[in-house]
Amino acid sequence: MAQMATTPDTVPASVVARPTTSRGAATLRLLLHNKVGAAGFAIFLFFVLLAIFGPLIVSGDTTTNLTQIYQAPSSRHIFGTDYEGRDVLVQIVRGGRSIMIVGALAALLSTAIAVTFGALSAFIGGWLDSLILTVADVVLTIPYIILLGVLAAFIKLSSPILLAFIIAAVSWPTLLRAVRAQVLSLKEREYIEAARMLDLGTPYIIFREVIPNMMSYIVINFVIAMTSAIYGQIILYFLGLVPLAGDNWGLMINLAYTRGALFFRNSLWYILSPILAISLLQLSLVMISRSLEEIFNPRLREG
Amino acid sequence: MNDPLLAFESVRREFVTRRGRIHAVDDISLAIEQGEILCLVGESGSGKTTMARMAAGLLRPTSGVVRYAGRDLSAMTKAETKTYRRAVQIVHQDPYASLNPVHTIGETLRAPLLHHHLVRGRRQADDRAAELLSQVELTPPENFLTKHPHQLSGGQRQRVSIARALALNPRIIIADEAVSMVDVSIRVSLLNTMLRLRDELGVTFLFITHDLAVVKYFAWEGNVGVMYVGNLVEYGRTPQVIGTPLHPYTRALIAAIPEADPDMTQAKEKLQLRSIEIPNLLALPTGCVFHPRCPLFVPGLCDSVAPVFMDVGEGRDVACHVVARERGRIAMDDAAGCAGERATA
Amino acid sequence: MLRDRVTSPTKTSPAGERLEEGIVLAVQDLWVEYRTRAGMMQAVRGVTFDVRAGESIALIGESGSGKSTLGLALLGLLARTARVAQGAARFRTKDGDTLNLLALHNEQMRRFRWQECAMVFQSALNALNPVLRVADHFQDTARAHGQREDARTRARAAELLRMVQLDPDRVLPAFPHELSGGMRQRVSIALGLLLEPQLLILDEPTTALDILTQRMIIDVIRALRQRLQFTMLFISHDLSLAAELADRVATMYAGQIVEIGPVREVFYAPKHPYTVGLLDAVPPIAGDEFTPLTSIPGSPPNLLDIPPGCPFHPRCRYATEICARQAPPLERVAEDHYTACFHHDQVDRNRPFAGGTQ
Repeated sequence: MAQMATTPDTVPASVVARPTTSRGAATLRLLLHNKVGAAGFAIFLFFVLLAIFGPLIVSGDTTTNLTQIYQAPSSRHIFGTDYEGRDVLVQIVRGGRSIMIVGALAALLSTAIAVTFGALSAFIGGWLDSLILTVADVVLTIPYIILLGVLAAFIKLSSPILLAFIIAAVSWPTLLRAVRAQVLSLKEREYIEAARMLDLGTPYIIFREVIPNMMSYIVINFVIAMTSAIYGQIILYFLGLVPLAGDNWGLMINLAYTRGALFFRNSLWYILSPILAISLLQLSLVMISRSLEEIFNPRLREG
Repeated sequence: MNDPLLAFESVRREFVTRRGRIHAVDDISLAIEQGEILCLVGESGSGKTTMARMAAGLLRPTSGVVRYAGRDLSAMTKAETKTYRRAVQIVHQDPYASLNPVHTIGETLRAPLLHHHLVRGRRQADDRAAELLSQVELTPPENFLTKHPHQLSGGQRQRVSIARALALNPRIIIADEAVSMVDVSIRVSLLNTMLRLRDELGVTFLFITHDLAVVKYFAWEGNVGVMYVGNLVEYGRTPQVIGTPLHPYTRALIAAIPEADPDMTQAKEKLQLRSIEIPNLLALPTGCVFHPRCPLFVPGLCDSVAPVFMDVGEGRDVACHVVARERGRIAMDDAAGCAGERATA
Repeated sequence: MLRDRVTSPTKTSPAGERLEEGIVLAVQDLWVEYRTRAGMMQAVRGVTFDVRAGESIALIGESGSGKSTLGLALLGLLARTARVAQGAARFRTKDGDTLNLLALHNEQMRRFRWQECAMVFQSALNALNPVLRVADHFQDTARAHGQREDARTRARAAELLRMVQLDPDRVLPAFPHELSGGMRQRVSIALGLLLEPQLLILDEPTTALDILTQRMIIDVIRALRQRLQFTMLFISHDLSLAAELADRVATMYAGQIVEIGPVREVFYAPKHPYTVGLLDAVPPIAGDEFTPLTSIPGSPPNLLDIPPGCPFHPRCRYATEICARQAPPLERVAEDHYTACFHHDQVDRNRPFAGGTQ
């Protein structure tokens, strides 16, 4: 290649570096600085705290009380009661925990699968790449809900962990393809070539050289995976495919729907409140992911 | 008998693209001895980078053999490959892309040391890393070990790249345009550092560049090979090739470079080429690839028969019918005859 | 001995400095800064110079010198994070009016660009629109400036392309990606000259080009200047380009002009240590003599934290105490030759720059 433009030889030390803080801390600070990110983070934090401490504050009286079914919101039952006379607010407060845990777990699993196999696929190439891509395509082409339903039917869902596994099993292909594309481009970078020349070995290069350079990408995709895992759960619950008991927003929607809450004016809150709760949680995650995107891609930032 | 450290034997490399075949390197034979400095110089499309990548083992030749210490790269045992891998290192062109941005300099240098068990433990690794940094004149080393690449200037980054290349005690360093993206005022000190390493550690250098000034300075005591569109057109000791270039392309290059001296540069005689068109890599000219532009063009010969790269006396190697004839190596009709078998399509 | 102590080699300085009549561009004490996360970065720090009608002046500097920022500022092309902190830039139009370049509003700026002053950018790849044919580039530019006669534009375009050694029939219907780097650069130059601007600014015109292509561009530019007699300001890191094409040379360091003068003066009798350093880092190519090179010790300045006094003093062999305290102004050292150095009478080209190691 002919004469290249010289690059700035100025030491831009103070422009970016704050060597005492970790990148994570720096990112967090930037996130909070961004209005959308801060709002999203606040809402998400609210839900986390609600899940942890909520049940302790809002005393749960969930005994069935058939004289109180579908009561309108009042001072005693802020969101009214459900089809069995139980307080809705209590259920809302309790209902987030399992959704969020399963969501996070499923996102973690699917991200881990996608990153590991996507990177291996891109790096090693050849038959492994073709194999993984084929499997991914197969999983992708089967309708998500059907696959979920079939899996749920076959696997005895004895715990939320298994539920997380099922959802992860269905959602990894998209992320894998994205990770693979990223790794393919990073693979050609000169520092990767240098690592190969130094004979550092493929596993080392993938996990210590390539993936750390993709962390921002992975984190954003993790957040998005969480939103889709939450939706996945809701769908399963709504369709009644999950035989799990306990308080759960998804279950609430299912019960509300099947027990005819739609037809009572007083019971509006019974069906609306879990929907609102889920939407708000998802919104917070989306806001976080959007501002993370802005942080990691400086070009998206305003001026 | 001492084998040359690195040798190319009739090496060819083709790339097949959607638009056709590109002959990036076309039948080149070259040898580098231990401790030597060789510069490969050429413009874009000359194939010099391809040669470097084949020397580094990152590319396989389409035909011909690349040898390291006498052994064919493609026929090496596992142990030999391992030795070779460590003996040959690259310093890249772009200071911004050659270091992993998420690692500190210390991490970057420790990785190969620890991975190959050249040291035991973190403390030793740090000591050795500091030593390497001192060798490339990044002092005090402690200041640099904890920094990230973006905190260093371009010149400093290149030094780290060199230090990293030295980590495995290589026998040959391939510098691929290693100073092209660095300011001119820094360039010289980088070149001086590399020359010092060659003197102190006996490292062999294969330096790829388009810049004849770099060739002149760095390889003054070494050799230079001039490449044009995949062919080696001239080879010899640097003072001779630059002082009295023989191949018309080399002469054109030297004449074309602007000098930092107004009188000299305006008085410099420019070699008029017959055409300003650069060759289409997918449809190379027949015979000698330089013939459409060559001022010494001999119709009937240069456009049908490819010149042989041959010794024309005094340690000079040139691939040109006219030069060979002038130097008395071959009679004109012999040129057509003996080179006839090697005529390219 | 009395020396003229003027702060700026412009038309406001005592008469007798100028060799040519008329000033096309006058820059006065220009400061441009960028907003970065770590604070304001001064890219251009008090630059003052003239561009005279018909001349070719080179701004030579390495990275961080501010030369490109200066060019962009003159054409109103600075990024949003940059701003002109102070200073003036005045331009004399073809009609004789004086424009204040830093205060032009959109309509005026549009007319100024291309018609009065055109800029040819570094990477011709990026300057040409990949989805437009070359002919369309010419038509669009012409039409945007009120010249609607397409036939005339086409004729003029063809003429210019021939002047830059391109075949119009081959090049006009082509898309940029179908042309080589050298061809694109020549198209950019031809495009710049379409509306007959007074001043052509070229930013790194030969960077990223091969040696032989570079030579062709240099020859093309030289021929064009002889024929069309436009004024030229070119920005480069390559001193030898200045030796080829410039009448006057200004070397820039850390956002300032440190030396400015006629080309032979600057090359043969430089009076600033940085200029000497640059010259000592580039060998003559032709010839079989070995020229030992020296590099300038130290690193380029951190523009966020420029040391007080002369910005070059940390790397300078002639530096004394005063250099660290006071910034030297541009002083006249010979006819039309100015330098910003307190010790310029010690500066000698034949004594190589000290150092060699970083």
